[in-house]
Amino acid sequence: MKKTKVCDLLGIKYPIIQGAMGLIAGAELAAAVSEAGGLGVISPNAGEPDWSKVGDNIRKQIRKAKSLTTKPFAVNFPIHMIKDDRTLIDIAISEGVKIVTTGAGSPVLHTTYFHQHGIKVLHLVATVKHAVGAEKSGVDIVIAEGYESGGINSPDELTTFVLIPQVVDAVKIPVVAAGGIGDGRGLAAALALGAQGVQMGTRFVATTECLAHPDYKKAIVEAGDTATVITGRGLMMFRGLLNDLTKELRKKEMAGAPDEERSVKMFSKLSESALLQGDVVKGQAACGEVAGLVHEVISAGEVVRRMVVDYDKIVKGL
Amino acid sequence: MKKTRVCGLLGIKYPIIQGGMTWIANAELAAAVSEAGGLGTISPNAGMRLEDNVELNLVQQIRLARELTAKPFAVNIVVLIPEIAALVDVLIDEGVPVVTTSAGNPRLYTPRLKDAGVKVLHVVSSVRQAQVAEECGVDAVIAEGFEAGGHNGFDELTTMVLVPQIADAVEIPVIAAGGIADARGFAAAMALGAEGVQMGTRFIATTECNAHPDFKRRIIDSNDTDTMITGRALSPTRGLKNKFSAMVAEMDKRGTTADELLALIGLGRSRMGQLEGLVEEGELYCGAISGMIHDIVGAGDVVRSMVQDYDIIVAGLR
Repeated sequence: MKKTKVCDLLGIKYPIIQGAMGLIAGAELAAAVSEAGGLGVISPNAGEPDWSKVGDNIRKQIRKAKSLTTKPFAVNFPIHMIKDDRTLIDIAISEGVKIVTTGAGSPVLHTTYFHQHGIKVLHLVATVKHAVGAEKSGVDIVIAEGYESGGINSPDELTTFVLIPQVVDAVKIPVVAAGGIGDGRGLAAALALGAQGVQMGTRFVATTECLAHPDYKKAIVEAGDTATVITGRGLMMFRGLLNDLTKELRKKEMAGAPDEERSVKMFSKLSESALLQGDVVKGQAACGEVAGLVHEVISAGEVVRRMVVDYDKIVKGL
Repeated sequence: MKKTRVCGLLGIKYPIIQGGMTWIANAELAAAVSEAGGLGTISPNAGMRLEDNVELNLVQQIRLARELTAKPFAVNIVVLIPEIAALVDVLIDEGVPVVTTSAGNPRLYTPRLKDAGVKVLHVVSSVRQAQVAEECGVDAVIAEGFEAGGHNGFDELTTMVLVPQIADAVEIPVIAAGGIADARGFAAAMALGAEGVQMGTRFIATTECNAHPDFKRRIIDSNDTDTMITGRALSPTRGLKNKFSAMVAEMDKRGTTADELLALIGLGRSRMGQLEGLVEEGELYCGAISGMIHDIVGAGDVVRSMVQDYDIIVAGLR
C-alpha cells in the first residue's frame, strides 16, 4: 500500500497503529506491531493494575520493547491520570521514547514539553472542536475516535464515518481514524474518508502477544455484531461486552437510576478482573463494536500483514 | 465509476439511492435523483396534510414522478403503519418498479411484491435482520448505521462495523446507509463491501426537496455535534437538537416509558418540524453527517459530484 504522511512523520512502513488498551497493551504486543511495520503503543499500566507502580512498569515495558524491536514504538499517557505531573513523562524521556499518544485531557498541558524533548505527539479527539484545539496546541497528529470504539467513549457519540471527514476538513495535520476498524476493508474505508492512518484496539486484543486473559480474547473472537453496549451515558461513557455487569448498569440507566448506581469508576477492579483475570461475565470488558469481525486469535504481525495485503486488493476493486 | 450488482438489479446508472424520508421525499426530488442516474424514492405521505388520504397522495406522487422521469424510482413503505396493505395495493397497481421497506417484518409483504415483479430492498440494522430479510427473498438489504437520521436500530451498530459484517453474512447486495454525504463516504462504503449507498440528510438540503426552508437552513448551519438520539425507550430517533429534543432527552434521563413518549410526540410531530418549519417545537429527523453539508444544491448535482469525486478518491487510494 502507498505511504501516507503518518508513515513519514513516525518513520513507519504502514499507517497502522495499535491502540493503547489499558492494562493489556504491553511491550510484546507493541514490539510485534512495530516489527511488522506498524506502530505499537505501550500502555503505562500494562500488566500492572496498581497505578502507584506504573513508573517502574513504564521503564520495564520500554526496555523490553527495545530489546524486541529497533523500530519506532510509542507510549500512551492518559492525561486525566497524570494531570500536570511529569514524573512518568520524564521516565519515558530518559528511556528514549520518541512518540507518545495522549488522550482524555487537554493537549495544552504537555505537548510543548514533549516537543522540547524531540517527541512526536498524537492526540485522541472525538469532535471537530477538540481536533481544532489539539492542532492549536501543536500536536503532530490527531487520532479521531468514533462511537463504535471500545473502552472510554465520548459523550458526543460521533461515529467514525461522520467524524473522520469532518475532522479532516477542519485541520491541516494528519488524521488517524479509530473505532470500528478490524481489517483491510476498514483501513481502505478510513483512508477513503480522508484519514492518513488507522488505530485499532479490539483487533489487537485478540492476538497471541497481547497480555489479555485468554477468556477475554475468546469472548471477543466469539462476539457477534450486537455483543457490545454503552454504559455510563452522561457520566463516563464506556463501551464493553454485554454481560451481567453491563446489562444491570443498562437496566438502571433506562430506569433513570441515580448516577452513582449506573456507572463504573475508571480503572476499577472490574476492568482488571475482566481483562487480566478473564471474568468476562461480571467484569468490565472493554470491547469495540468491530468484535463481530474478529474471528480468531492470531499474531499481531499477521494482523498488520493481512490488512496491508487486503487493502491493495480492495482498492484495486473499487 | 464501475457498475455494481445494485445498478443491474435496479436498472440505474450509479448505485446512489435517495432515502425515503417521511413527509419530505417528494416526487420532484425522487425524479431529479433518478434523472441524474441514481434511484429516487418517494414517501407515501410526502407533502400531505395529516387529514389527507395517504393512498391518494401516493398515487399522485407516483404519477407526478412518472411525468418528470422515465427512469426507475422507488417508494418507501413503513411496514408497521396501519395503512400498509392498501399502500402495497397502490404500488402494485401503479407498477412501481422498486420498493424499499423498513420498520417491520419483511416476511409480510415481500412475497406479494416479488410476485408482482417489484424489486424489494429492505432496511436492516443488524446481521440477524439482514439474514432474515435474505431468507424472505428481498433483492438487496440497506444496512443503516447508528449515524442515520430518523428512526434508528436498537443495537446502535455504526455504518463502519455494520456494513462489512452484513456483507460477510449475506449473498445479496448490501447498500450502505447512515453517515454518507459525499464521495468520501461513498468510496468508504464500497471499500467496506457495500455495492451502493443510500443518503437521506444530504438530499434534504436540495432545491427539489419539499422540506421547509427553515429545516434545510438548520441542516446547513449545523455542525458535527448538533444531532442526538432521543427516545431510546420507544424507538431511538436521531434528529437535530432543538427545544423538542431537549424535552425528550430530559424524559430519557429521568427514565421514561414508551407510552409516555408516544403521548408527548403525538401525531405529525416530524411533519411539524420538517414540513411546517416549526424548528423548535417539531421533530427534525437528521443524520449525524449534517455538519458536513454546507449548501443547498440540485439533487442531480449531488449525484453528479459524488460520481465525479469517487474516481478521484479511489485513484488517490491506489
